[in-house]
Amino acid sequence: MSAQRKVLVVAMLLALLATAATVAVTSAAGAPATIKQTTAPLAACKKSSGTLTYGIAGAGVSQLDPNTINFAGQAPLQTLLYNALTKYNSSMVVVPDLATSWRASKDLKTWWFNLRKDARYALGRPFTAEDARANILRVLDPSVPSQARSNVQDIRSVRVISKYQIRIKLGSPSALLPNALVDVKMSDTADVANLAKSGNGTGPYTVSEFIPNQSITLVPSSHWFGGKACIAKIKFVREPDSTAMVTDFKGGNLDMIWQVRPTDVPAVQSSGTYFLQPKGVSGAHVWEVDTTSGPFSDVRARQALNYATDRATMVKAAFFGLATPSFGDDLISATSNAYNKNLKGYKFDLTKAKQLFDAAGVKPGTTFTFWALAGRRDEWITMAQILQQDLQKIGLNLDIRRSDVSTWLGKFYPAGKSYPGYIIGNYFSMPPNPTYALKQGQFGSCECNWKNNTFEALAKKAPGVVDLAARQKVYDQMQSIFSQAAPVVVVAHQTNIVAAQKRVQGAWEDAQGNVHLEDARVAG
Amino acid sequence: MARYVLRRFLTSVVLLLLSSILIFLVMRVIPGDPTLTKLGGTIKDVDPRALEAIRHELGIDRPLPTQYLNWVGGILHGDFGQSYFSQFPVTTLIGQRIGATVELAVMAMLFGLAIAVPAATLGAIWRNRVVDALLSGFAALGMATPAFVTGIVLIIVFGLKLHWLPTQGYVSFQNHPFESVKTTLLPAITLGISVAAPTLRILRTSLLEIGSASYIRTAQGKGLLRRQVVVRHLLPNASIPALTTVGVIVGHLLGGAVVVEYVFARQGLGTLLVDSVFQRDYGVLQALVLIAAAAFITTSLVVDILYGVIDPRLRVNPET
Repeated sequence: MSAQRKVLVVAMLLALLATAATVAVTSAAGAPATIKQTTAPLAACKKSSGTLTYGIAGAGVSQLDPNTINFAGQAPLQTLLYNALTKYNSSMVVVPDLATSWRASKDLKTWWFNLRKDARYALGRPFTAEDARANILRVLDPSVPSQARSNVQDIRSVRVISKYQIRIKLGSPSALLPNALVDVKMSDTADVANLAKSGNGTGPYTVSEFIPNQSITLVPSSHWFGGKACIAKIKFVREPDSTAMVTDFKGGNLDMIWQVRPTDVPAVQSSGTYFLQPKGVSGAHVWEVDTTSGPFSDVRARQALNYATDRATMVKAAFFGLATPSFGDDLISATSNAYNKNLKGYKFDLTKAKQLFDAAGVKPGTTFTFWALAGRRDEWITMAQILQQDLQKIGLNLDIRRSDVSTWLGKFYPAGKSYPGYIIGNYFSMPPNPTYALKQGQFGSCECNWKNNTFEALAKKAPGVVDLAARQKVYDQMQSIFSQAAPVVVVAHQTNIVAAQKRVQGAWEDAQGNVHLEDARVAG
Repeated sequence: MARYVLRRFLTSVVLLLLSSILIFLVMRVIPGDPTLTKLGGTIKDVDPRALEAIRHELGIDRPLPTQYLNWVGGILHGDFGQSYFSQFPVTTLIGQRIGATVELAVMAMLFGLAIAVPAATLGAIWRNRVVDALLSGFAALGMATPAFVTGIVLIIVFGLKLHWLPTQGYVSFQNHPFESVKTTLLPAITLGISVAAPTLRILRTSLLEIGSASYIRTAQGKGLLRRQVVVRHLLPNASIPALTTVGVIVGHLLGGAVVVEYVFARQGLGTLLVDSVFQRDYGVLQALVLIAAAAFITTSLVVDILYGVIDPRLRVNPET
């Protein structure tokens, strides 16, 4: 062997050894970590200090209009830059925000909200009832793609009674209007053209620098009605992927990271870190099918798919045990007080699955297509692979495909599209209130294209039922209908896993998986 | 010489025009709809009027020729359009990020050439010795190893384990020169290795070819020192194929920067390009690809002109 060739061989071997050593050193191993509780609420801050760097993987913040956001990762900005008339506290109770108090008429169709008089936008303009009205009407405008509209679309009129009072009239009675208004943020509608760039709100922070899809830096707003914001600088940075995000967190370059993969939890956990513990879980990993085209237009095929879904194994393999399987195929988590404990549910049973598929006319050799996202939600692929193996045992095939977000969305979104034979991996980020969580099953909301008139009628009725026990009966009926019809396979409930360095205090996560930093502070 | 330059310039303009048409059409052919990406899949009960309003706002409800002419007309007036999502003008978005890419490219190029030129020269001088074998091994390894692998290994060793250098982000040179160099070092080394490896090979080969030429033997026979032979005769004649390499390097830097910026979460034009592909942000994507095409075409033009400057034979009869 020539000298040159010897050198090349040695170099290659050295490179292989280095790679193997690197993999061995950095591989995660061990049992699932213990999730620790959040810290208790802290006293107000006398001054702003410290810097908090928050990492998001895979996608970035592309625009700042709070009423048309399309990316869950920017949820913390909703409460850092903006306020709504109402908000959730860390116990998930609706409390005043820009509205100091409210009352309703006896028929629950008319509501009055009194507004605080000291709120100002970050650029100095006072917030008044006109702004509240303008924001609500903007959300109701059908030409504005607002994520908040579905919960407030029953509003018929908004009237300014005085400079700091508005009156809202509804089409049907609702005891839950204050809940619905949590997501209608009070942006500066006097400057709509710049809403996407400016981030001008009444919140504790204001935008110092914004590089779309890359980073956004916030500093305390001098006009905030709440006094001093606790942190001198908050920076949201976008990481290329989950691995890079975890690497940077472990290296101390990030103080908090959002949507940690379950498999990364052991690697992230250390004596200097903790995980946020939300009170309740209202998000779910689901498989959507088209209920208007074959074979899943037949309820037996949908029920068969449920029986073929080994939820217990999927939660163990894909979520490292950090999720709640939804054996009832229910939009409400089994850990919720509103869960219908009498649901018959779908225990994993391949024999029953095969019988139902046969009855629905799904012949052996049929191939379904599992449609997932590339670069995100690796858990879906693990679940799909388990489903693929199980379906093969009963003579069916599953073709697993991953696409970028635009191609993925184009197949099934918005509701009304036909996608026969496809099983779409998706995540429902549902509001914590069961009324609004169950709306996910309504016609027009669900991309499954399912319509059940009894379910629709109950969804309309629920908000107007004041008595909690009576309202729970409505929820129970809705859950029962949904479970039997199985328009969507709800695999497991899980919210976002958020990790923080111990120097970060006061952060909390709501049941929907949104992180709240408005009370956060950094030590040291 | 003037006719030669003019001819090359006009060819470049035609190439740029054809590139703009191709870029525009390809964007419209790839699957995916920016309207839906703007909604993100999280907004339910989507009203058809909302979709219409978004399409009109994005300008994608107009006929294709109208869209193309509007786009080109804007460019000729210095208006590259705006992002469909952030509503920032494209020029602002590019301005926010071009510094990171230019810094990275310059440092990578310097690093790459600082390795490749002396290494190629040494390899040519000490041909078939151990030094030459080691350098060839380095070139082979550098070309075989993808940039993202090199980058990840450097991140783990120098960032995670040794904590010597930051593993992500960007600090502009104007704000903090020292921090800027620190944040650029690892990505520049990563990209520089992928530039050095092919450059070293091509330069070494051309040096060896020229080294065996008769005029080199004549120069040596005249009694010139080795240094004089290398500097006055060897390197200038080897620079022509090296110039071709520069053109290839620029293309490599443009493409490699996309991967390296993504690995190191660096807010450069590469990440902007990738994001606009995923989002189908036509406005940004078209502008960036056109700028990249223009950069490549300009580099080729400059290289072609330099050929004529270095080698007068090409000026007299450029077709041969």
